[in-house]
Amino acid sequence: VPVVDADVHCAVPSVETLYPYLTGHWPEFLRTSEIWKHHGGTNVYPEWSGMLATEGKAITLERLQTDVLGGVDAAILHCHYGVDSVQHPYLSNELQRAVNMWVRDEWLERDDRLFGTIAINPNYVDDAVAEIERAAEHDRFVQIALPVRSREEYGHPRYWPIWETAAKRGLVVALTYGGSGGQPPTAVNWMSSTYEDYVIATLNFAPQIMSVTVSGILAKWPALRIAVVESGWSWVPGFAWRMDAEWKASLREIPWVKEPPSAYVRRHFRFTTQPADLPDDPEQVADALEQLGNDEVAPHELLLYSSDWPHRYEHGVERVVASLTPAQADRVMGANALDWYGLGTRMQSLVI
Amino acid sequence: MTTIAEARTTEGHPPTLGIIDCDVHNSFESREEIDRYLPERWHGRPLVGGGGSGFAGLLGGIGPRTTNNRLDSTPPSGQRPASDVAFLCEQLLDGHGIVKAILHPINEVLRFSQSGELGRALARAVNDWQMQKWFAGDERLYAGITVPVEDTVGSVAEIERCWNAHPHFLNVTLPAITREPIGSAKYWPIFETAVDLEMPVVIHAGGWSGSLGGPGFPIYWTQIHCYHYMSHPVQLTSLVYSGLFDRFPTLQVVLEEGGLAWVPMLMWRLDRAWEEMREDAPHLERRPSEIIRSHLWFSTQPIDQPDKPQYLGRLLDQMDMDDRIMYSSDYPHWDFDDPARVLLKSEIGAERRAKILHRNALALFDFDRR
Repeated sequence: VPVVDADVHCAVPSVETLYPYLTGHWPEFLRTSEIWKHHGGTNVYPEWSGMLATEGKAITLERLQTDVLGGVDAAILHCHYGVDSVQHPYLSNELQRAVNMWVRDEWLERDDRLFGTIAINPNYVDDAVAEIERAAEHDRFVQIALPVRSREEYGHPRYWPIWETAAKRGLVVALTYGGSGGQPPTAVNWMSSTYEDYVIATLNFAPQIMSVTVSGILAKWPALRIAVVESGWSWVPGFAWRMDAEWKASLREIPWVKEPPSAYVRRHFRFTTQPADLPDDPEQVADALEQLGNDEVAPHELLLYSSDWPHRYEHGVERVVASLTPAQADRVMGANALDWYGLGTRMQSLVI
Repeated sequence: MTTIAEARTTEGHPPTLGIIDCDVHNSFESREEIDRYLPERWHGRPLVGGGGSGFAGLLGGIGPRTTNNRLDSTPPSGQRPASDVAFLCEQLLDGHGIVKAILHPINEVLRFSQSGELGRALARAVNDWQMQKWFAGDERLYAGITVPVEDTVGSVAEIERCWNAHPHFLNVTLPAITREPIGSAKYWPIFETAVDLEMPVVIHAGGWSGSLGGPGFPIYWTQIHCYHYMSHPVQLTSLVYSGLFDRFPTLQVVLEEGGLAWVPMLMWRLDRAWEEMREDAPHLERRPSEIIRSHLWFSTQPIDQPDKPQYLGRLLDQMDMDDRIMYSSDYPHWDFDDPARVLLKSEIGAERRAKILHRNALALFDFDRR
């Protein structure tokens, strides 16, 4: 059974890397501008943090091959470059295209075990859709990244063309850690530390899941598949109970939501395994896992194995696998991702 | 299907012990009643300061129901629900076997001005009203001290005034949405005063900072209502990280109207991030979950409704805070938790039920202060 790592990262080493992909005066503009020195991406993954550092110069394909690809059959690659933080509409469009071209040439083309995630600035929807259409012509781009800290929640009508394009193209939509929506991350404004920002990040994922679930997107495009990446999953059951309770109390407001929100979550969402916020007691880990599923959907169907490389954690997926049967573990370690991303049709070696 | 009366007999608390309700939302009967407690310059004037203006639809949404209250909670006088002392005591206390109730008038506390001259005048009006109408009206009623939270100087003065004025003020009540994270040094004098007077600080869902943060304003009311709990984990993270509990080792904080299901998951995340990001939290010597289990309390409403009833007991196992969870009804709101229908012995066992509905609140709040 193939093993698929559903979340590994690369990073653009420096803005100069992208110059060959930029058109017109943009390379010259960037060479003589200051803007990129205060880039959003470095705030999301600060270099001082042993856990989160995602330093472009240190992350090479060779290292990825040694650290990750030796042990897996395929990996889903993310390149967070903070294009969503660029307000300049034309520069933003240039940069998103350049990032995706660079990922294509330097990563996907150089190792056919890698599958890509399309970076976009979702706030300029027309350009984002055009870029998705362009990038997806390469058949190893299997996913679109939407960073969870957005300008508006992703169920907002302004973003629907992106969902429509994902559905039409059969691309997974990834909700990813970070983002530069320009708003404070919480209702009490900005936190005082990266530690706090990191801890409360799941509270940015939760509203995005609810927004997508109640917005009507999933009724309109029932084939949509969403990967919740780098958020953990142990908080999902409790949040689903809360959503279901609210739904019962507001059927009149959202009549297109025909089933409890948790049913949509279990049908349309999958969660990567790393990082996992789990209790110390293995029995309680098993409980948390059980509550992620229900009588219809087994919990191990909802998880996609991920290392989140090069981010470093003390514990990996082994704490989850310990409470699974070997057949269930095979689903988590690869078969689920194979199905979710349709990798089998794209990569013959992965067909079971 | 058991009737409510049957449920009370089989599942409910022995009446001799009596239930303590930690969160009841009494209300002014009218604008005229508030004005009776306000200086004349504010009579008839808008009670929302600059921060809350222009956001009504964003803040409250368009609720898909005719009222935010229990349909049977309008008193015979026809005034607003929970504005009539006798009717509230009859319906809530006598009707549900509740022997003591703590009043938090959130409509007034959370939606009104939290700073400036108006903020001070409103806090004073609310607290005077609590004493003159509610404490005088029934000795089973207690309350939190309402403060203009963004005005620290005004808050400290109001806390001291109220504490001296009446022993039925049991806590300092803050909104869960503040303009800065609640661990910010700006708010420390409020906590310090509460500690000096040996009162817990209650942080109650709601409030207004100008933003709901994260991905922007939710579109539907169901989301707005669902997200009410979300400032609790944020404020708890801030409280832990701030070092407030090292500075004030006897400080006890209650998080109200946020439910419970998010608590264990947050503790797991705080602990893991603490282990893996020590570079950013070198001042935290204790594991965050240990800090939480020593300083935090939770009220139960809206009690979580898991897919299977036995998950509630497992949730309490995961929290491991049996001595720090307290029943609240949220009367008179529509999502009121009837003590005969929630936290049943069949779900959580008799011992836990007794602690949550009665004993824990007695341990935290000084109901016998004179």
